[in-house]
Parts: sequence; structure tokens; C-alpha cells
Amino acid sequence: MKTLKTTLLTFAIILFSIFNSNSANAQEKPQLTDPEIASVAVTANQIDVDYAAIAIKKSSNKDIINFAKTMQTDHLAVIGMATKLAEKLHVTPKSNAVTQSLLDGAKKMKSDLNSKSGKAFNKAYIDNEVAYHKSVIQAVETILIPQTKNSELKDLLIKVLPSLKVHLEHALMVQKNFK
Amino acid sequence: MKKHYFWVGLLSISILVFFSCKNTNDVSSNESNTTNENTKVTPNIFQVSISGMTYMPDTVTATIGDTVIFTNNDIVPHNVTEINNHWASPTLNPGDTWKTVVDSSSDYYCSLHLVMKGRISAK
Repeated sequence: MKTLKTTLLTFAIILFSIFNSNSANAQEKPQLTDPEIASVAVTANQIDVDYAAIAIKKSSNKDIINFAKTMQTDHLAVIGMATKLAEKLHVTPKSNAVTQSLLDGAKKMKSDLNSKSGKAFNKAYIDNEVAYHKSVIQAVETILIPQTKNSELKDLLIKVLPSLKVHLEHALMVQKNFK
Repeated sequence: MKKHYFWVGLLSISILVFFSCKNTNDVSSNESNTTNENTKVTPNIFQVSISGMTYMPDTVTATIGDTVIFTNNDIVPHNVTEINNHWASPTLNPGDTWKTVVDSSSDYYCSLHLVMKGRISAK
């Protein structure tokens, strides 16, 4: 349990330090190009698809499974749209420091989730979904949308935002059952 | 001979009057039907767009017998599920439509995104 809390905290700190919009110095925010933003968007969605796959495999709680299936469907839909758009715009998503940080954090989190079972797993999964969506929403609002140059890519990110917010509300609703 | 012409004329006039009255009755009957059909209430059709993770409008006030058509204009799949599961749409992928005929007031939600809610208020 302690390990999980530490990992969640570490992951939150990583995301916070990458994405925090309240930083006094705007120069601390990562400056991303459109191909890098496309990479961050696809990676962030894929990470949540991966978490969902673990939940569907490990949990037997219907609320958790329902939520995880929705995450899988919705985030795969966004990846599909982003990939299609990147092809249309001849943009090749470019890996960058933010993508790498996301992947590093996810690796740790997946390891922790895989070490849990039963109620402990359900709580860990949904707690992470709440924290993850909060961080990603902040990143999309304060970094990805403002820094995107291409209008179609910007429009896609704007369209994705309501679904992320609804996912967060849904996660908070499920989380109440695991306090 | 004159008498003969008289009776033939009278018969012709009687026939004309008969058919004339019959046609008049027919017309008034048709008009009456038309009037009845016109006074029949045509069911209304209401459109609900699913967009930006909301049902728009989120409340439809309709009369029993009206139709509500849901169109998924969003980027992810949704559905329309009555809160007590009395009725439910299949999964609506982006671009899909589904309709229901109003038979009572209903609260509904998306079972894929539990916070999405709407209402059909039947008059």
C-alpha cells in the first residue's frame, strides 16, 4: 500500500512538474512543436488504454470494469482520430521529453497495479484515473491547446477536452465507492 | 306528341337534379373527411444532438406519440438508456441516429458515461 501511495505521489509530481500551469515562470513549461504535441496526445491516450486493459483483466467489480471499458473505447477513438489527422497533415508524431516522462511514469504505475488485487487493486486503479485525468486535462488546457499551431490539430484537442472532463467526473463518482 | 316531350323533359330534369344532389353530397362528405384529417394532430419530431459529452437539448417537452430522434455528433460512442432500463438505445457510434416514440415522461442517461443525463417530459 505504501509503495502504491509513493508511486501515485511520484507520478502526480512528475505530471505536475511537466504540466503545471500555475508555475510562476511560463518558461518552465515545455515548449512543444506540433509533431511533439501529437506524440504527447497519442501517448497519453495509449497509457490510459493500457491501464484499462489491466483493470478489465484484474477486476471483477462491475463499476470498475464499466469505467475501464469506456476508457478503452474512448481513448482508442481519440488515438484513431489523432492518427488519421496526423496522416492527413503529413505530421509524424515526434517523441520528446514529455512523452518519455509519461511513459516512465506509466511503467511504474502499471507495475504497481499489476502487483495489486481485489479491493486494493480497484482503489489503486480508480485513484490513479482521477489523478491522471486531472493532470492530463490541465496539460491539454494550458500547454497542448495553447501551443498547437495547426488549426485542425488544435480543434481536435478542443473536441477531446469535454470527454476528459466527463471521464474525470465519472472516475470521481466511482471513487466514492472505494473510500 | 307534345305530352310525350313534356314527360321526357321532366324525366331528364329529375335525373339531372338527382345526380346534381348526389355530387353535392359527395363533395360535402369529402370536405368533411378532409376537415377531420386536418384536425388530427400530427406527431411532432424532436431532435436531440449528442455533442461535447452532452444531450442537446437536455430536456425535451413532448406530447405522447411524438418522436425524439437522437444523433451522435460526438467523437466517442454513446447510448440513451432510460434510468429504470424500461428502454435503451443500442450503442450509437459517431454519426449514428436512434429514435423513440414518447409514451411517458422519462429520465435517461448514457450508461457508458454515467454523468451524461437528459429528460423527456411528456405533456
